[in-house]
Amino acid sequence: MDHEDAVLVAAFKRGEESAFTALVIKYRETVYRIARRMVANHEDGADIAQEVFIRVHRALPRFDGRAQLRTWLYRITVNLCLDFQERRRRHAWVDLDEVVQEAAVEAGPAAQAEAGALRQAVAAAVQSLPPRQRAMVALRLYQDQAYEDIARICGCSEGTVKATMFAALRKLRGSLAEEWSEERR
Amino acid sequence: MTCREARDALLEVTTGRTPPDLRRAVAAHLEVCADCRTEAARLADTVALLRADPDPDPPAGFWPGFMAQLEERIAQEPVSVWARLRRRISVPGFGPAAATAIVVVIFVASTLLRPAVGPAPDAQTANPVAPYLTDSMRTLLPSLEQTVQIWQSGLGGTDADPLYLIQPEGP
Repeated sequence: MDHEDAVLVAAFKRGEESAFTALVIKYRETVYRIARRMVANHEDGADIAQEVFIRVHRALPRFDGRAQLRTWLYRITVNLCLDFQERRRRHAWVDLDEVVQEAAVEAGPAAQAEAGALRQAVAAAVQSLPPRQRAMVALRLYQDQAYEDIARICGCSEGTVKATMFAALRKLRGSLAEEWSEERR
Repeated sequence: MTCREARDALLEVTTGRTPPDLRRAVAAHLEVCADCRTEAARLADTVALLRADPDPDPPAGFWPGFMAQLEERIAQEPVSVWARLRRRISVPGFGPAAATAIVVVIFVASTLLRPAVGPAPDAQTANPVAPYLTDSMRTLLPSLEQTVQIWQSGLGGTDADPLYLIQPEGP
């Protein structure tokens, strides 16, 4: 386990609640971003991030440190996102207005429109993937996780992750070609 | 390198960090294989486009509220007796305090539970030297008896080994 994480986990187990706060501050952005990539709206992403840390707080006293804390944390995040989407399958759309609104606020109008269009196209393409593929893409492309770690997080073999990623990227290529060409027309 | 091997490696090359020797091997294959080259270019374009999408960040001022809400929810979490005990035991300084308390309890318990002392000793037992003190001895040494009593009370009474032994005279 990462040395800093090990120190914080040990301190938390000794009863130092501030160590947990430090862990939350360290990982909250990443957890939120993974959730956002998977559920694609701020409120749901924030709710999932909150739930992740509640679960971590409950389970951390039993965390044995054999796995990386990061991997364990992302696994909880991905599983919660998958559960969430299973429950709200009909509502798993991309909040396109929100996506566009968030695009490069400081850029000029043309750049902003371009960035907004790109975000919209990418978000729509990523959202078109099945949830597990979406999780793998989020972890590999946006969180730079190794395939080996993604396999642990998703509970499958490294070969399965690579095959799934390959299929996902092919599908994304098709979706993006469509979306992007439509946006630029 | 075969096309299959090259395509497996392409994923690593385009989305991750690859060792230089693998990268060189893929590059060598791409130079001679137009299909894999096309596939590699498509894959690289797709990944570049996806990665151009910036990380989604929450609105400004989101995190303080998030932390406050999290703290509130954690405070409401039911805590098992065992978990509470474990956390308490883990508090720094608890160990030495607990060890001291245990020593004190053992000491008090051993004092209170010590076997009851038998019936009050009779005069002879209480003062085993008394029979050997004759009147002449008392006259010559008026403080002798008092000294014997002080010795007995100060050195643990009848349980203590006598400092001196007076052999009873034979018949």
